[in-house]
Amino acid sequence: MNRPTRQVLIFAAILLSAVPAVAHHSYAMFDARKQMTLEGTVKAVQWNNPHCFIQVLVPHGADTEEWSIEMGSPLHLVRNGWKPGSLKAGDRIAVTLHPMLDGSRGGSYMSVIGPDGKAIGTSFQ
Amino acid sequence: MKSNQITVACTLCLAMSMLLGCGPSDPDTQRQAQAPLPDWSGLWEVVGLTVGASGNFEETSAELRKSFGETPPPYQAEWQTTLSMDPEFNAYISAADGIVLCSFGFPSVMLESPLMFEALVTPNETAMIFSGRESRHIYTDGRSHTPADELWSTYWGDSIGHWEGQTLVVDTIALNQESVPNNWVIIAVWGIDLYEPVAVLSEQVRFTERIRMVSKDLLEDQMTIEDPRALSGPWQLTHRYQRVAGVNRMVHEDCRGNDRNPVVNGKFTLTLP
Repeated sequence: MNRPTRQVLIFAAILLSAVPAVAHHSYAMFDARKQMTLEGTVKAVQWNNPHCFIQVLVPHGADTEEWSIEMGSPLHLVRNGWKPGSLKAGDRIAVTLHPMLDGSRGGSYMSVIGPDGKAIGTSFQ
Repeated sequence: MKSNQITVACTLCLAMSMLLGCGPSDPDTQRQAQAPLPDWSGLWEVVGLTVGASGNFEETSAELRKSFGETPPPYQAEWQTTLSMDPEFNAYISAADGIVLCSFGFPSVMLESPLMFEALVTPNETAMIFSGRESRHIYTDGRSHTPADELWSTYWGDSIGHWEGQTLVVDTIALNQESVPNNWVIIAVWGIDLYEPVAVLSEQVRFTERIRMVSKDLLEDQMTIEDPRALSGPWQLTHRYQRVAGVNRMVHEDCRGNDRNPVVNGKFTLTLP
């Protein structure tokens, strides 16, 4: 490979590691190499653009911690078998996610087991 | 009939045709005389891209690259040097982390976006309406491209087209891409594992597409990319679009709204309660 070509590819790789992805931004804040499963209670489902969120209350010792699980847009949730009422506040769930790289209480959605013990929507795990 | 009467009759006939818009040069009449317009109704999505409920692609970058074929774009050597040496381009690259894109633009919407689209075919225009609230307007009324002194580059370019049977042939020029300097156009794939470049094209790029329905649930776009500044010859790509299952209406996506991903120190973050 000659030098200019190599430079072009290096530059492009740097650029594209930062280019906003599917939902308008990079997913670099999430650790795609890790996954974790949280068992807790749904506090709220935010069903809106640009991203839906599941807010989950997870027991932590004598307290509870609130986690924010980022999902795709409502359209892509519907595409994957979700409905606005698929989860409701108070539902007991087990949600699997890619956690935040900085260790804060958030992550990128991977899959969820609903209160009836069944997976909701399409899972690609 | 005398010759002057014939002349008057022909003149009247021509005038009536022009008034009614049904003269021999009228594109509507030409199309109706050829074949009925195809029905491309429904929602379509790019074949080979799977967007899960996470909002991210499920395929790896290597898997997504397959749709661009084995042959890399035929770059001119001088263009490769230009890319590596351009100060504005490099400044953009160094500051790129944290940029928010609200528009994919063309050709990304046809090649590598998660957006769904409707294709509304009418005699004078085919409109493509994308779920990201973007649209393409392909004029088939016989017009030429917008004159140079009235034309400026946009994310979706200036598109004109014509029908060859059931195939829509589209010519698109005057493109740029959101936040990319110099009116250059980047084609990239972003897999679940990493982002990968496919091509960087110049402000002179021109796209010719042949779009047709290959089966009841499959559209195909044969794309020829020409760029006298960046490419040594035409670069050809073929992408297909399948009917979307499980969604019965267009629902738009929007980069505004409940945005919980602010950029802090050049990096995306997540706003917690």
